Amino acid sequence: MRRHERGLFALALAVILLTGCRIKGPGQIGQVSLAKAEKTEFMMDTLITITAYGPKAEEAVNAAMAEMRRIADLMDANDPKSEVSRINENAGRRPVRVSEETFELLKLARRYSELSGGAFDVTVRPLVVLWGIGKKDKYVPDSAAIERARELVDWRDLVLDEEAKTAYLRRAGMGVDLGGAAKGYAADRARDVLLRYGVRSALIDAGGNIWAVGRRPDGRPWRIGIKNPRPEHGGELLAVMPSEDLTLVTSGDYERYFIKNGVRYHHIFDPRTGRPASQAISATIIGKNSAEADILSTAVFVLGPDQGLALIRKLSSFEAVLVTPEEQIVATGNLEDELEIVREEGGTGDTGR
Amino acid sequence: MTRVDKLILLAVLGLALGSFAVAGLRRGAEVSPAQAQVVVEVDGRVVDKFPLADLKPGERRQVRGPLGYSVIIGGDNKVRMESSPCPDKVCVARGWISLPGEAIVCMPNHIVVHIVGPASEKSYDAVTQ
Amino acid sequence: MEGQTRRLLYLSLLVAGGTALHVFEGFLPALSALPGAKLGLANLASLLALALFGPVEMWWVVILRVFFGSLLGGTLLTTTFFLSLAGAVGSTLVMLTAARLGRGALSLVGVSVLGAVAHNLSQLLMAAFLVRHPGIFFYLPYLLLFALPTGYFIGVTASFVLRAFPPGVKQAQWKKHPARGVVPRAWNM
Repeated sequence: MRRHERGLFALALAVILLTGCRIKGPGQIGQVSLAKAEKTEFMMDTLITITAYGPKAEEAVNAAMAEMRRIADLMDANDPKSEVSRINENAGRRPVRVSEETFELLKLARRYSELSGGAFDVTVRPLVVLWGIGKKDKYVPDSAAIERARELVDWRDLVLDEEAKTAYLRRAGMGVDLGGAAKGYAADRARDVLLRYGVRSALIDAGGNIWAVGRRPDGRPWRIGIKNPRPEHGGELLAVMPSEDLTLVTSGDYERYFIKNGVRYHHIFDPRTGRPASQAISATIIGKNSAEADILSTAVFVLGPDQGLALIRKLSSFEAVLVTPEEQIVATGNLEDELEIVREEGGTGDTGR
Repeated sequence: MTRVDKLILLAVLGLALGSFAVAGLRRGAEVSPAQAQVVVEVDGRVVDKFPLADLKPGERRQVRGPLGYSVIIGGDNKVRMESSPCPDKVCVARGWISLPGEAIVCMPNHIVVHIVGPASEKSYDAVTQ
Repeated sequence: MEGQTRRLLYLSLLVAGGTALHVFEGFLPALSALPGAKLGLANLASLLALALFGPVEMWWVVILRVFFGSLLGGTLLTTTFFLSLAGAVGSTLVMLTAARLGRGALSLVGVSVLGAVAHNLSQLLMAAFLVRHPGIFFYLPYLLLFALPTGYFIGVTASFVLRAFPPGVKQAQWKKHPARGVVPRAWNM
């Protein structure tokens, strides 16, 4: 051992003996994490955000976003070039051949129109146009106009030809509107794309339609908040749902609305009355299929606590949380153990039923 | 010592200093202790979470791990492990922690006490609306 | 003494010494506030086994030492045991690889420092797995820094001890270098 090495040896010994001293240091060295990719785009009248974790996260998110864009372009009733617009233009004239995707979703929407007894109606377009909520300023149509529009809403007049893959509305002036289904359907398709890219952990937020894919990168379930429809009573969130491979879709009267003469007019219509539905102020559906959950959230919102939850129980593959106009939270029984109610007291709510 | 030995010593030193730098960068914005939250985890499950300011000086909380109860005690906007049934008492030796990102780890008793800022305190990942 | 008996004797001594150091180190109060930071005294026995005999013997000494050490220390199959095992296996793998790749260019000190780093890293990984909390990686830079003096200290000590061994003991794969201490020669695994 040469002399300088002897010094080094002594130094090492000293350092070891002195490390009884406290070590204090802030900061956290990066967790062993997967590649993360996140992208936000505006489509279908709303902001879509996809967050994915995985070795090919970036490609996966881009492909999923492109798929959503493609679906949106097919089904946007406000875009004159979309397939849905072409069906509506040709109402009462002739059947229109549509893509596999549009046909599939129309079929699903028609089936649920029937199941919900018309509380959800795929041909609600005339009412949407008449009220123009979010487009026209605080406009309440007169009863005669509402009655005329309501007359044109009837899912039985949507004829779907399985062989020819055509859609046909029997009467002129009718119109299909997939606004209550397309976001969910697009989210389902985006999820499929992510899974094909090997993504096992992702969050798709399609304007409040959430697909919680897999678990969080830290291995715990995603935590999805359910918005409190009246945040002035009890805070932003109603409840939190720990979610693993679940989609959550909410319909609320707070999304697009105006208040005139003390009455809140919102964008979810009861096709049977032609007016904004009033049996609920928020309905959340939890399940494994976002297109169906999207449709069902509208149906349950319109049907209200009794009939709405009865419909969900009958279907058995979905759960529902609903807020009544009295701000009571009601949920299907299976949810009670999992849902964490976070609405602060002072609200009038309690769970159960 | 050979030349390669010295290179190795230097490389390890560089790596250590480098990771200190990374840790420093990741620390990010300062959060006032008043807003910080204490998170207590056993086997990775959050068993307790409370604002650091709520733990008054001298106030104790018990945490149950596989070996028994470890006790944390509050200070002036700081917290430390007062006692623990583990053999090595590394967690007790760690002393006070007060800043987001700091942690007390008791491996034998499977307990992690760490501090998070209000930003990471968000209790949900997304909201359905 | 016959060669085989002598080999067995020395290996037994190394296992016994390693076990004693392992237990002794467990009795020391927390040396620092770092989980997983150890002097690595028992690594002395492993290094000597490597220098005197070879990789196979080193594995024997390491595994037996962890087992007996934990048995005597009363930590068998507890968290501490798994941490020790992870550290021992991780550092042994790295030290063997280093000795093999760095033959001729690397002395026991270099091997020891790399072993200390690997020891701390494997313990940290095991700890992160056991407490399921990535926050533990906060300790990484401190552990790296800590591995420097401990690895150096153990390496130098091992070189010293090696010189004190009677010349009759086979040191086949290593040779003494007048200026550079003990360095590995041809390595045959």
